[in-house]
Amino acid sequence: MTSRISRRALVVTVVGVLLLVGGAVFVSQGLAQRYVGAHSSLTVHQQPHPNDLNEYTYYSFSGGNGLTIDDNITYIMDDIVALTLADAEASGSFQVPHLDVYVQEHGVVAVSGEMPNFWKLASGGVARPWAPHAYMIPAFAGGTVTFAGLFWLATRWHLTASAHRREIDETPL
Amino acid sequence: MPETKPDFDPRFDPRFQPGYDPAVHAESEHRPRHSSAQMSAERDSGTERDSGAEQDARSSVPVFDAEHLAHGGALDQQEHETPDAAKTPPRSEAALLLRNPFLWIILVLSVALLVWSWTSYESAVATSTNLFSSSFGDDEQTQAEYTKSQFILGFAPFCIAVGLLALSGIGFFAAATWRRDQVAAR
Repeated sequence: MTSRISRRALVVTVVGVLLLVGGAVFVSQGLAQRYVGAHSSLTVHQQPHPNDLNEYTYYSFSGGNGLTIDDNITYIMDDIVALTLADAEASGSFQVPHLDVYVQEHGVVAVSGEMPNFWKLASGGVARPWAPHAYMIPAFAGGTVTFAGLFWLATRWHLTASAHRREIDETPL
Repeated sequence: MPETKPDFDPRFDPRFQPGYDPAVHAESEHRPRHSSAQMSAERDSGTERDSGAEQDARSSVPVFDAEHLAHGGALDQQEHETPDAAKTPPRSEAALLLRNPFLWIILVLSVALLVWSWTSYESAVATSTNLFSSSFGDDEQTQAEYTKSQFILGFAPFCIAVGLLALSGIGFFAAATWRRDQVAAR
C-alpha cells in the first residue's frame, strides 16, 4: 500500500517553512539594525560647518520666538532620525548613511553627507505607497513553497485515498 | 479379475498419483468437479470414509482439480472475487475532499493569514504614524514597535496575496475533484 504522505512533498514543505522563518528573522534583525543604525549614525557638532560642506539648512529658529537650539536639539535629531529611517525604508536598505550635523548658535543646522529625502516626510513617512523590496523575497518564497508543499501533500493524500487497492508509483506528482 | 483400487490420497487429484490407470479409473476422471464446496459435499456423502475423525480431517482440506488451479481457473477467479465482494464501497471524491487533513491545514492557514494581515496592517499604520509624528526615542520599546510595524507594513500585502492564492488553490482543487467525480460517474 502506497503511503498517503509523500516524503518529497514533506521535505518541500519543511524547506518552505525554514525559508519562511529564516527570511522573517533576517528581515526582523535588519529592521532592528536599521533603527539602531539611524540613531548611531548622527554625529552632532556644536560648531559652524566647514566652508566646503554642501550644507543643508534644516531648521532655523531665528524668528525670535524664544526657542533655542539647546532646548530643541533632541527634537531636531529625532526628526532627522525619522527622515533617515523613512529614506532607508524607501530605498529598501537596512543600512543608514552616516551624517554629520552642525549646529550653529543662531539655530541653523547643517547636515553633511548624502541628504535624506527631506520632503517625503511632509506627507508622512508611512503615506508612501507600498513597494516590494529585495529583502522580502526569501520570506515570500518560503511562504509560497510551504503552500506548494501542502498542496502536494493534499493531492497525494487524495489520490492515494481515492484509489482503492491501486498502487501508485513513487514518481512525484 | 477384481478391480484393484490403490489408496489415493484424497487431497490430490488421482490422475497425478502413482497407481492411477485411466482405463480403470476413467470414471472418476470424468466426474465433474466444479467447486471445492461441491467436492466437499461429495466427499461427505461418500461411503468409503472409514472413520469420523478421518472424515473430519479430509473435509477440512480443500481438494482442487488441476484445471481449477490453472491461471484463470475457478480458484483464480474466486481469489480475485472474494476481496472485491468483501471490500467496502469506495467513498465519493467529495467525501474524501472533506476528509483531507492537508486541505484543512491550508484552509486554516490561508484564512488566518488574511485575517492577520488585514487587522495588523491597520494597527501597524497607526503605530508607524505615531512613531514618525512624535519623538523618536532610542529605547527598546520604540525599537520593538518600529520593527514590528515596519515588518507588518512590508509583509502584510504579501500575506494577503498568498492567502488569496491558497484559497483559490483550494477552489481549483475542489473543482478538479468534482470534475473527476463527474467523469468517473459516466
